[in-house]
Amino acid sequence: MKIKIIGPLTIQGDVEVTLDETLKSLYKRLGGQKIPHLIQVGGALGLLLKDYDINSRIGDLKKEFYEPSIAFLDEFCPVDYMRFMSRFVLRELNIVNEFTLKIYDLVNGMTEHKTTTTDYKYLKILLKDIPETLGEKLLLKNLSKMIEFYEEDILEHLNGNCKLGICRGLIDAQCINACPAHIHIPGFVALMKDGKYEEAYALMRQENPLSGVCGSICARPCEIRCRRGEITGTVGVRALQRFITSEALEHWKYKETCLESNDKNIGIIGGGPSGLTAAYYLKRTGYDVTIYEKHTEAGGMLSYGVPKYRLPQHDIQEEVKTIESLGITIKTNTEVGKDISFETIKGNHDAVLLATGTQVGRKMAVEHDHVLSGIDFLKGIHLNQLKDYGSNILVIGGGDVAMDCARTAIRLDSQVTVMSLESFEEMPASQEEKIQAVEEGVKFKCGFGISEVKHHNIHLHKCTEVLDDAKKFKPQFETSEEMLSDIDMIVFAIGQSKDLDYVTEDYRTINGMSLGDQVFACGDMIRPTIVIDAIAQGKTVAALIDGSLGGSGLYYGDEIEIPEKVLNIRTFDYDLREIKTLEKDDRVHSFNQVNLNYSIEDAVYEADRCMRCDRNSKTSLLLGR
Amino acid sequence: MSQDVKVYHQYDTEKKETYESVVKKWQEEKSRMKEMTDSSRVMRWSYTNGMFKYKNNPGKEITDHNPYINIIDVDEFDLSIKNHPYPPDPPAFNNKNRPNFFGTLMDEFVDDAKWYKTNLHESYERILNEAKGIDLPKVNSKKTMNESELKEAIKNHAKSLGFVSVGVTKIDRRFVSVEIDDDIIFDTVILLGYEMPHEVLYRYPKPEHDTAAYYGYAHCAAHVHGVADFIREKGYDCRARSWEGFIKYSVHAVNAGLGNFSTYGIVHTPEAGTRIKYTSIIIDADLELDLPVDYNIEEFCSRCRMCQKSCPSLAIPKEETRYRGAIKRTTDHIKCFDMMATQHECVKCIRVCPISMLGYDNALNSLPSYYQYNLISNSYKTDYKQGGSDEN
Repeated sequence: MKIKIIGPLTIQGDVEVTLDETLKSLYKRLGGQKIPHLIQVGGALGLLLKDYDINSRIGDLKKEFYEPSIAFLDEFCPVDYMRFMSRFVLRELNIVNEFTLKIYDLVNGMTEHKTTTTDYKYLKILLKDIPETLGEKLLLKNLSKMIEFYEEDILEHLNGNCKLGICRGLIDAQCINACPAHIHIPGFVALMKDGKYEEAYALMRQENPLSGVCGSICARPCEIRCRRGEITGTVGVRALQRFITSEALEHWKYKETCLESNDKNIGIIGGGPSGLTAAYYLKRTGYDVTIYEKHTEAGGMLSYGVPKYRLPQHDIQEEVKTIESLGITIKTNTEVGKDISFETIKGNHDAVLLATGTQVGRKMAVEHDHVLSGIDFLKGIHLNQLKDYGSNILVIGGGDVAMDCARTAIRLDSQVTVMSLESFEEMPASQEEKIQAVEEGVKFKCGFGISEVKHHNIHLHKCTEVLDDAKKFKPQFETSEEMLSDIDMIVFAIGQSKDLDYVTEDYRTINGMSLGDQVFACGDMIRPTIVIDAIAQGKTVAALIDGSLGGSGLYYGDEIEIPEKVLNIRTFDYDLREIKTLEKDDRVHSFNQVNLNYSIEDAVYEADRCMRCDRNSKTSLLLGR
Repeated sequence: MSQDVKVYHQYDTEKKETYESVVKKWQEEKSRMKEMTDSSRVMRWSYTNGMFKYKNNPGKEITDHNPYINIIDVDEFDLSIKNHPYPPDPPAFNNKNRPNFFGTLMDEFVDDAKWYKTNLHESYERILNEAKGIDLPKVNSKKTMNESELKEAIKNHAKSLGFVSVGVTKIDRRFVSVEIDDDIIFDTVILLGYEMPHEVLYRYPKPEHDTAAYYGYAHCAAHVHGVADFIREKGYDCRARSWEGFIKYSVHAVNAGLGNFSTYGIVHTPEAGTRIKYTSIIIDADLELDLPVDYNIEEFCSRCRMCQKSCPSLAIPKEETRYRGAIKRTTDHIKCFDMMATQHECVKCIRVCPISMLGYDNALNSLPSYYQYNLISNSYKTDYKQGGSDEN
C-alpha cells in the first residue's frame, strides 16, 4: 500500500510498503540512521509507538491506519507535540466544543508557564473522560500516551523549562535556553557589534565568570540550537566569546563590585570550573570564600585535563585572576584529607562545597603492561611526569577525552589509533575535535571492541550495534579477524569516577546538590558533564548555599542595557565565517593553540549575522475559529 | 448576480409625511434590515448619494469558518466593516498635488519603464471600461468544457502566463471597497499571483534594472486579460480586476488555500513567500472552491520575526492585537507607506524574509516534522466527527 512518510529520512513523501515489513526495516530502507524516539502510525492522531515496538509488522498495525501515513520523530518536545495534537483537533478537524477547548487551554498553558500542578492533575482527570467523537477519543488516548512516555519532560515544563527550546513561551531565545548557564548570547553579540567589548564581557560574566575559557573550549550547545543554524549557517558564538574576552581583558578597567561582607564564610574544596564559579558568585554576594586546591594552580580539569593546544595555560590563569582579585583566598597545594582534614574545614566555615569532580579514570582489565586512564595520561603529559609512552598508542573511547588523548599523543610524535564502539559519525566527541584529529593524522578504528590482548597484539571484534531499540547501552559483537599489532600503550578514555575518601562517611553518597548539614556538592560529582554545565551548576549551588544561609539571592551586578537596533536586511546573504586554524604542520609539532582568534572585521561580520531571537514574541498563537 | 442588489431611498421629496410616520417607517425598515442582514448578506452605506443597499456575500461563510483568519467576534467585525471605509492614502502617496514618487522611481530604476507604464495604463483602462460595459469582448456562445475542466484549464493557462499562485474562492464583500462594490457582479473569484523575481529583490535596498513591486503590478497588468480572454473563449463570462487594493487579496488568498498571513499581515505563499502581487478575475461559473490550508507559516513566523526586527519604519507589530472583532497583525500603513514612497518601495520586510528569499522548504524544515500533518489534513479520509468504534 502507498503510505506518506514523514521524518528525517532521505526518501520522503509517498512510499510503497508491504505488509510483511517491520517498521524498523522500513525505516532502514528509507535511509534512516539513528533509531527514532517515537513513531506515529495513521495520521496526526494515530497510534504512538516507542522503543521495542519498532519491530512491529506493518500488517499487524493495519487497523491503526486511519490515514495512510507513518511519521518517524527524532528530537522533539513532547509538550509542543501535545499542543500540536490538541490544536489539530480544533483547527484541522474542526471539532470545537467546550471539552476540546478546555484540553487545548490546559495543554497550551504548559507552553507558556500558565498550567499549574493542580491544572495538570485536572488535565489527567479529563483524559479519563469518554467523549463522543472519534477525534476526541484518539486525542485523549494519545495525550495519555505522551504523559506515560514523557512525564518527566512535562513536569519540567510545569516548572517553566523546555529542554529543547521549542516552546517559545518558556524561553528567551533557543541559544540562551540551550546554554546550561543561560548566558544572554544575542545580548553580548549586539553589544560587541557596537564595539562595547567591556560591557559585552560584563554581560557574559553575569552568568559565566569563565567566559574566556568557554570561548576556547566550550562544546557549544548554543550553536547546535542556533535558530540561524537551522535555516542557514549558525552564528559563531564561541569564537565571538573568545574575541570579546581577549579585547576586554586587554584593558580590563571594568571593576566588578561586591556587596558588603556579611561575615559568613564558605569553604570550597576544589578549584575547578564549578568551584571557581560558585566562589565568584558567593564573593560578589558578600561571603568570604576560601578555595582549597590540591594542585599548584587553580583551574582543575581546565588546567590539567584540557590540553594546551585547546586552551593555553595563560588564558585560564588570566581569568582565574579576575575571580581571585575580588578577594577570594585560593589555598593551592592543599590536599584535603592529607594537608588539612575535612573536619577542620567543616569546623572553620559556615558552609562547605565539595567540587572535586571526577579524578579517577576508568580502565578495563586487560593483559598489557602499560595501561593508563585518559585523565592520568593527560595529567602526566601536562606535568611533564610521563616520559615513557612508546611510539604506538591505542586510545579507547569515542568521547572528547579520547580525542584529547589522541591529539596530545600525536604531538609527542607517536602513532595513534582511536578505537570506539560507535561509528565515526556517531562517536560522541564534538565534530570539530574529530575532524581536527583526522587532519592531524590520528587513525580511527571505529565500530570495534577489544576481544583479547596477547603480547602487545590486540584482537578485535566488530560492534554491530551499540544501543538497542530502546536506546539502552547494549553492544552486540561479531567475530572478526582484525588485529592491531605492537601496541606500546593503551589509554582508556571511557569515563571517570569520583573519589570521596577525603570526606566523612555521611557525605559519600551524592544524590543532589545539597548533602545536608551545610555541605553541598556540584560539578562533575553530580553528573559527568561539559565545562559550561559545571559552571552552571556552580552558579546554582551558590544560590542554594546563599538561600540556606538566609541570603536574599545572588548579586549579579547592575543590569546591562542591550541595544535593540534595526537589523541588517542582507543578513541571510552571509555565510558563517569559520574560525581559522593553524596549518597542520605547525600543529603536530607544538602545543600552540590550534584555533585562532577572529580579526575585528570577522567578528563584526559574524555579529551582524545574529537574528536576535531574544526579541521575538513569546505569546502563543491564537486559536482562530 | 446583480439582480440580488436592492436599493432603498432614504427619503422621497414627492411625498408629504408626518414625522411620526417617518419614524414608524424607519423602525419597520430597521427590523427588515436586521432580517436581511443574515449570514449571507452585507449592507452598504453610500455617503455620496445617501443610499444603502444589500448585497449577496457568499464569501462571508468561508471567512467566518476559516480557522486561519482570526475573527473572534463576527458581529463586531461585520459592524465595523460596514461603517468604516478604507483608510485614506497617506500624504506621500500618489496624490495629484504631490510628487509622483513611483512614476519617477520607474523612470530611473526600470530598464524598460515605458513598457511598465503603458501596460499598467492600458490594462487598467480596459478594466475600467469593461466594468462599465464599454468594449466588452464577446463571450463564446458555446460552452466548450464543463466547470471542473474549466478550472483545471484556467489554472494551467494562468501558470503558463507566469502566475505562480492560482486559486478559486468566493468574494467576501466585507473586504471589497465601497467604490467598486457595484463592479463586482459575479461572486466567484479567481486569484492570480505574479511572483516578483528573487534576483530583483536580491538587489535591494539599491534596485537596478527593475523594481520589485512594480514588476509585480506591471506583469499582473500584462497578463490578466490573457486569462480573462481565455475564459471567454471557453464560453464563460468574466471580468478582469485590477492589482490595486480595492479587493483585499490577502484574505481571499488565505480563503483559497494559497497561503497564510505573514508577520506583516499580507499573504505568505509556499511558492514565493511574500514576493507576490495578486490580481483577480471574477467569473460567472460555479467553479469548485479551493480549501484553506495551514502551511505552518504562522508557526514559523512566530519563531522568526526578522521583518519586524528589520523594519526601518517600525511599522510591523510584534504581537497580534484585537482590532474591531478580529485578532490580527495590522501594519501601521501610514508609517509603512511613507517608507515605501521615499525608499525605492522599501520592501525590506520581503528582502529579509527567509521564506521569501531562501525558499519555503528550506525555512520550514526547521520546524518539528509533525507539523507536516497540517499540509495533508485536507485529504484525510476518516471522519473524526463520528463516534469511534469501542475498541479505541
